[in-house]
Amino acid sequence: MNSKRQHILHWAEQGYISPDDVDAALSLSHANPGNLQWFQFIKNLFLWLGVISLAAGTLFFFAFNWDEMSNLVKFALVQTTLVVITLVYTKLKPFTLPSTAIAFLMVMLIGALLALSGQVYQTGADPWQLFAIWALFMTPIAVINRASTLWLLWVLLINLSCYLYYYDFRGVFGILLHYDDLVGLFLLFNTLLAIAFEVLQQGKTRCLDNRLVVQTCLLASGIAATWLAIWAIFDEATLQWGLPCYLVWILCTYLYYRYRLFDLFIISGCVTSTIVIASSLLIYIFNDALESDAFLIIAIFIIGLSSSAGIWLKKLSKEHAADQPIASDKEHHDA
Amino acid sequence: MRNSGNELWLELQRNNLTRADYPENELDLSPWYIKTMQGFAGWIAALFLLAFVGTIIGSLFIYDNQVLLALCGLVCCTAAYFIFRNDKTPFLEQLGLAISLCGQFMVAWGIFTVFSISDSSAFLILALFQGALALVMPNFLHRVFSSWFAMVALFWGLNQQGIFGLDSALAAALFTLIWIKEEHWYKYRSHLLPISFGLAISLLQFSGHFLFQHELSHYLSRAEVGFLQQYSPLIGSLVLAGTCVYLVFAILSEQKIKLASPSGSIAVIATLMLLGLSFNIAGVSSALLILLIGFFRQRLILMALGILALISFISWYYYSLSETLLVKSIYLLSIGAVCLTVVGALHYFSKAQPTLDPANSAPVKGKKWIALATILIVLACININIYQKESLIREGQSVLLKLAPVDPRSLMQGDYMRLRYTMSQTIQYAVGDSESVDGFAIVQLDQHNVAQFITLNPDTELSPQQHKLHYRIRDGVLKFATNAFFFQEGSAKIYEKARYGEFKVSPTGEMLLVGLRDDQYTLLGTNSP
Repeated sequence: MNSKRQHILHWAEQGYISPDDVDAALSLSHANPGNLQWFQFIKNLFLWLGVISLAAGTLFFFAFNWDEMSNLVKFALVQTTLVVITLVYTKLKPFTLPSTAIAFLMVMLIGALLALSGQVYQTGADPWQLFAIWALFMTPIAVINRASTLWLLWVLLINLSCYLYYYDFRGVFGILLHYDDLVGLFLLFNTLLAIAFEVLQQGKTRCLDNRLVVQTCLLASGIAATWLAIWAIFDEATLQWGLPCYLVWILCTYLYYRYRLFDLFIISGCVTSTIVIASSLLIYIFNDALESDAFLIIAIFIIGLSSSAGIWLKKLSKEHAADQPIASDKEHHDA
Repeated sequence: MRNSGNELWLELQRNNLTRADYPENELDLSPWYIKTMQGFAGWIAALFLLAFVGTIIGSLFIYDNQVLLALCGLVCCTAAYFIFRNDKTPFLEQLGLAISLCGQFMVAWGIFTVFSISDSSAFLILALFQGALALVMPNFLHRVFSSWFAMVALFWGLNQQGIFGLDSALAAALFTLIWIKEEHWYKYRSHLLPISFGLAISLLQFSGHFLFQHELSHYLSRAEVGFLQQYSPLIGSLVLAGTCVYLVFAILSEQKIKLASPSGSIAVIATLMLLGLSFNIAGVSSALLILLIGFFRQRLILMALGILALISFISWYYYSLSETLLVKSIYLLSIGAVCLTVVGALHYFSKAQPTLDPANSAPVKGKKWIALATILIVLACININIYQKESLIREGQSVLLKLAPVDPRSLMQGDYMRLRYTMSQTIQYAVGDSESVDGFAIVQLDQHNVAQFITLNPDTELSPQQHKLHYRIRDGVLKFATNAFFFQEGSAKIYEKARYGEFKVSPTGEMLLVGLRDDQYTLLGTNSP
């Protein structure tokens, strides 16, 4: 990926490059992908299409629950495939796209195998167990492979399992947990995951390729925190801890990613959340007099806040790019 | 970013391709999430503006003043246009966006009160209006929104006429055309690029709707079946296929590969093959189109959009009711096999070529063993589990539990049936008010092995006809082993007569659901191999 095309066509539009020179400029700067890049892209495209189709096909096949095929044959089929795929995996060059794709297929087959055994022996294990065991089984593969694709799946499974567990056992802890407690747990859990990934990433043992997973966890917990805060604003009585919790979360996140480890995506998220909360506060303040003037003031307030936030974020983005031009290139490469 | 632009500029200057100094008016490369934040805030602000307008001139919305309402909306849009044209400060741009959105809402409200919401001409007029806004309004986000809304309105308008598939084909064709012609139409870039993004969003949205084409047509189509109604899906598919082929030609010509050359003909054949294969799964060809163009024009955001769409279309495919899961799975498995064969072939023929993979020389020998060991452990765990369950099925005591009347609606869910047992209420009454708890129930079997509840006391001395059953109460619902009986998709009819659930029970109380029986104790179906 490069932005040369965008630059050249932008300059052409502005009249800095004459119409006759556009083609020359594009080919001179290698703005378009070349033969080799196309070849690589097509190969990867087919690889992932193939892997996704195979994984989905396998899951669909067992979901059909075919009576004609005996259960032991089904088990033998998945297990043999899994072993073959694993042998293929060991032959591949590590940390390349093919090895990630095959690892993904392995993980999906493990899931299919677990689902199949749940279906054949209708033991009725609690549903959260299936996802928890699946996540557990895939952990070593994610660790050695480092790819975000696998870790994202892992995070999804863990969250799902946690949600289902909560759903089954909400009465167990003596007090009846409420829906907002679930959001709170979700917030806590994903924040912990984000911290864990951040620590792992900065430690010596690398087990993650890029920042996608941390960003996803923080996005999820940010949405939860904002949700809680909105709730707290409009329904103070039941949720006193909502606002303090939100304030601590947003401040810590912002300060860390602004000054310790620059991450514009997360800063933008914090800004969006702040705009939402500030507007909610304003609505709450106007609560008794929520009529025409108040609506206009709120609208203008949101517009002012978001436009100045936009300016500020763009400025940050430029400053950071000017500081570390190489780092941003590298990030793109990883993605 | 400034740096990479600068370097490029110098390179062009060295080759006499540019005349001036480095331009002041820099390309806006701000990331997508900043734009998303602004668009999101613009929307919320527009809602408040609308509320403001509504409270000030509320009579417009209430009485028969549709024309006046629409006119006020037009005035808002015009005001926004002048704001956009004269000033480029972010605050005013954001204000213009909100005012215009508010105006558009008023126009739409007016149009829908004049016509009615079931009248397709209202949608078509709205589509024209939005299309005009997309061309006229000098603002990036506004053009994205408007072209998207225009396509959505067109979609609903055509659907109400019973015409399906044309709109997504149109979106795909326009989208592709804009990107292929990008370097020839660079003068209109600021018009066309945002429009193409709006088209891409609508394309993905429609392809999702397209999946429910039959259901939609059933509800929406009141018109008589004419030529367009009958052939529009076919025409749409043909246009989409033509668009994909056109894209491949464009890529080949840019790579200076002749159509008659081996690689040229392989590319065309492969495209046609992929199109044929993906014909059945709605949306996949659109997603692939966006992904390809993303790479063709080096836009990461389009590629990401294409990949996300691809994954979501395949998961929606699971729920499409046109084929059984078996057919779908065979279909997907064969696509997968074909694709991987192609990868293998490409790999084989390209061994001599250098690859672009970043070289990574970390010592990794141990890692392969970890992968292998993990899989072996997984297999061992699962096979031990299989062995235990199989021996329970062979050696366990048969116990029948009477089923409470089954909710017939859950039979419609396709591949599993929800079970409830008559004994549940008795046990739950005995357990008392508990949300989630595990325990054992002691039951007595009659001559047909049907269980009768005796007590919850775990210390009871068991007679030969008595057994203990492990139960779990989850979220106020009692479960013996499982509450779901899975069966082959489509065989729900057989199990409507089910009266008993048959379990195998171990001496420790562990239970396995093995089958369902009717009121004569005849086995309807099993899970055992």
